[in-house]
Amino acid sequence: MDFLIPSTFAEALAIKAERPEVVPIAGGTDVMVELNFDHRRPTALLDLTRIAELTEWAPSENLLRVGAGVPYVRIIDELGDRLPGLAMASRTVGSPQIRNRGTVGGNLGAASPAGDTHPVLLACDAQVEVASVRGTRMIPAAEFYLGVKRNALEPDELIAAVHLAPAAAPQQFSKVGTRNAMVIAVCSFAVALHPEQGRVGAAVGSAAPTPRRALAAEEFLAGELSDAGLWESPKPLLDSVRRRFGELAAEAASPIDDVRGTAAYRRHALAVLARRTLGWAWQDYCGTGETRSQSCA
Amino acid sequence: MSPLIGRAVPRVDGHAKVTGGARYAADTHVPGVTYGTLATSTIARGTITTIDTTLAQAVPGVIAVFTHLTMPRLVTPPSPYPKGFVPLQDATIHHNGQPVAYVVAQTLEQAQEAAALIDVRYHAEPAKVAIDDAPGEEFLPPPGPEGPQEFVHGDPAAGLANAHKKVDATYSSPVHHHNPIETSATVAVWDGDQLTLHESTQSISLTQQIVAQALSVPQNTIRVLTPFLGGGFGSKAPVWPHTLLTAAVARQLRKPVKLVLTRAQMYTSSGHRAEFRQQVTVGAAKDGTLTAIVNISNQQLSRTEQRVFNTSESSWMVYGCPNIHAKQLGVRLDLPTPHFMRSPEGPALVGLEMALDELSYELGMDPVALRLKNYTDLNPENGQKIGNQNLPECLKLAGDAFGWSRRNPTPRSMRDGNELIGWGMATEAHSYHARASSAWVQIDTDGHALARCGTQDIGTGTYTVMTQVTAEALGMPMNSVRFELGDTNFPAAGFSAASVTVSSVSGSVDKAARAARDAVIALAVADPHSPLHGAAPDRIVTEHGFLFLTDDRTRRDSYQGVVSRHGKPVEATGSFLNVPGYTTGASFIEVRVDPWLGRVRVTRAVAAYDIGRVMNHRTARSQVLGGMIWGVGYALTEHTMIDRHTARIVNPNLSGYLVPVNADAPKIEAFFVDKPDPTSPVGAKGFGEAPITGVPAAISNAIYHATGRRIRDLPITQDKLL
Repeated sequence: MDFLIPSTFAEALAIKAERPEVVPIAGGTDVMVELNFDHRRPTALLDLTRIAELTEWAPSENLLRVGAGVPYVRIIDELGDRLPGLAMASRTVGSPQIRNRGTVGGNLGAASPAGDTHPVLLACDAQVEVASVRGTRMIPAAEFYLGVKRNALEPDELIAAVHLAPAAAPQQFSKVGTRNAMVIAVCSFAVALHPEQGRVGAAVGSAAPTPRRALAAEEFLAGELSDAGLWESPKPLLDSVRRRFGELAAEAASPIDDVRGTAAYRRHALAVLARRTLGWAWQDYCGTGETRSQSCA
Repeated sequence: MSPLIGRAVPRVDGHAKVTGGARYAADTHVPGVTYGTLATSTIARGTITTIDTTLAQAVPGVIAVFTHLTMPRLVTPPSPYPKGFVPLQDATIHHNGQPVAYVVAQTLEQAQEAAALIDVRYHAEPAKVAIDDAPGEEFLPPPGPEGPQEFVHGDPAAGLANAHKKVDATYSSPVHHHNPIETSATVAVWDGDQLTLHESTQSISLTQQIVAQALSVPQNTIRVLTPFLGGGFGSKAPVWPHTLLTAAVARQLRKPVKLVLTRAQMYTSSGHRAEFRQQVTVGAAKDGTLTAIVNISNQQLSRTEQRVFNTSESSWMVYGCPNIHAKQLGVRLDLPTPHFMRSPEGPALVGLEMALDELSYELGMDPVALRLKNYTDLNPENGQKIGNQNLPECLKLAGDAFGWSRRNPTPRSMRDGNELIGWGMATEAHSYHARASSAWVQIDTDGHALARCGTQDIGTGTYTVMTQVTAEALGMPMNSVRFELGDTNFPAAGFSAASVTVSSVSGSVDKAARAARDAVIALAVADPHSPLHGAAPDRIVTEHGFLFLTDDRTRRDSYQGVVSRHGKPVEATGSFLNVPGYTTGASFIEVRVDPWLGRVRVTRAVAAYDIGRVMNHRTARSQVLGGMIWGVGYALTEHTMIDRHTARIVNPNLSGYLVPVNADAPKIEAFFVDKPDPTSPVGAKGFGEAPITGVPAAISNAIYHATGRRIRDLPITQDKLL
């Protein structure tokens, strides 16, 4: 097996164009497991860890551009205020060692339905910047996940970055595991409020062949919030609204029984997670700005 | 001088362990070593029809591929070899994961590559892998080393008929695996007809014996070395086939061979805790006095071995009851042979302690009061004292520290926001057997002491505690004493399992050290150059490396002075057979349950034990921490999942088999009664396995208190609490 160590992204793209079968490796937290279990035997590994430009983040127009190689620990430490949902999801990944190595780019590359950051990327309307020697294109997160561990990358493409808007309103992420840490999600859920668009982003993880937006839940809630004028003058959400949002979020899933949990448990837990995360996010929203309301505290 | 025994001294091997200086079996570097790998069966029952190794043998670097057709013939050792057969001797497959080929190559990667290229064809037969697969096939196995599989005392039927309240329920637990951090490793090095085995074993002497039997060689031609172990928990107590095969292959090839089991192979190669199911029926009079305890259990056995490991002595060893019936049935399944796993007495006790909690609610009686009402110190088998006399003190120590008296027994009576809070408790109990041990102590002319015993340190602190025992017996500072273990050239000791190491080994080490001290005193009083010349030996004490006359402490000599004038080291040996015993305690648990998700967090654990005299408060506490945290796994997460169709283990790794992580560990407090056991020269009882035996029951009882839900099938996963 060849181990290729490009020092620039251009060099990496040239290699990927010439040898599309090479497997990119960043933190290695997924790839190394597959190699150790002999689940795949690539002819070559393409080490992306020496490419400085992948490990940088910066504002880009109205968005933040987060390099594919920025590890979870830096998202937590450096971007927790601007990307709170992504930071919350990053905190639930593995152990400190895994968070030191693992990257959002790697999460996207592996495209596991259980990847912790995916629901946040979906709920926050993230764009995935992918590149090849042919050029660069942006793929909306909602169009990125094609199937179990399959994504929209062409064989010669590499993930360069993700682009997300800095949070203008509360975001939440929650995950159920089979123990309190160091676990793959049984199911997970992310919600992001987008008051400027009068809508809410919501997505489920580890409960379908791909991470998936909960569109019916999004539409229902957008309608409820707009009809009641709650964006402008926030008041606590009715229990019935939160509950219906939870039900619709659970309906977005098509879970299976596996070693981590049953389909029935996943549906139930997703409804609880959706209801709770929405409650937390909305409570935060009520508590901000001039419309602070005691009843929301 | 304050005693060294009991002090919370840090581990003497701690620095070596955290700096990589401790050499484990797999770290052994032998010039010219070759690498072994096992290819294992993919069916659970049947026969090999063809096995083609052509591709494997063509892999560069491959030295040999042994199959059942080409493997040297070995003798199947008798019990305690637990397997009943040696693999690679015939075409029969007894379980999934059984070795079907042994590959040796220049590198590990070459060996693994070759093993993957072996083409095995089978005639497969239907396999049964769960108790539910074999209804009606349970049977009463013949008596084992612990005695008959059925125990009857009094008239249990009458006791139940006369009971004021009864509980009759079935409790179950799944297959568990030990998961020591260090996977098992063997390095076999032959020099002529002498074999050295660098082995990860909890018993070097048993390894020597079993390997000698399998290879038909004299035991004294084999030397086994185990200076360090990365945990065992029972998995390394017996000798398993991989060791026999490695020794045989190395002899055949005349090359040193190293075999390190993979984590996945550990799930089929080194035993497990059998799936267990028990019907527990308990009855009590109005005042809580037990009128009957009936425990009918069933557990998985293999097709090739029928020894029962999950044992029910807690049915008659903890609570005094005039009418007791315990019956240990087994059922043969197409799985690897089960074995003991910290603690084999746990599964039965978990059922009993959950049943007593249920009974306490039937009676409207506090669970602690129910236990105090019934605990016993008399063994109904022989009328002799058990050694439980301090169990009431344990219940008080831990209960008071926990704040048990403030508990409202009503389920769902405590909450914090969304979370339900529950408090539960259970008695903990474990027996320890008698094991002979011998030790050797030498005091050198530089005044330093060296102690040796063929025991093991499985990570519990044997090095440290025996250094303390030696230093205290000699009257030397700890840094003048070195303790060595893990070498069959040293005086023999038993296995480091069944909670017996400290109780057994401390006796021989103490005796050898005292004999060496006495020999030095004898030299001193006979030595005209010694200030102690002519003194009566019994008037001399030893402290800090010096010898004093008690009547006149200005007359003193030193070990270094006496032995250097003597001109050569002073040696002594000691042998000891400990008295078997029973160790009890109690654990109190707080849980917080999220009723919407079914998530349980164990937030507080308080436990107290009577372990005789505490040898080292730090290492003793560590035993409690390990047992408590592992009990969390037992209660909530651990479960070896076996596919009913393929008989394969689905989660043979630490990602899928969920041992607790730091975030699952509660705040833990440990207390000890700390009264010397009179049968031990240093006051020690056996202890290792007691913490964990009741913890799963205490957690389950706490969950009942929190939620009103009684979950009798472990682990209590989130879906069961919805």
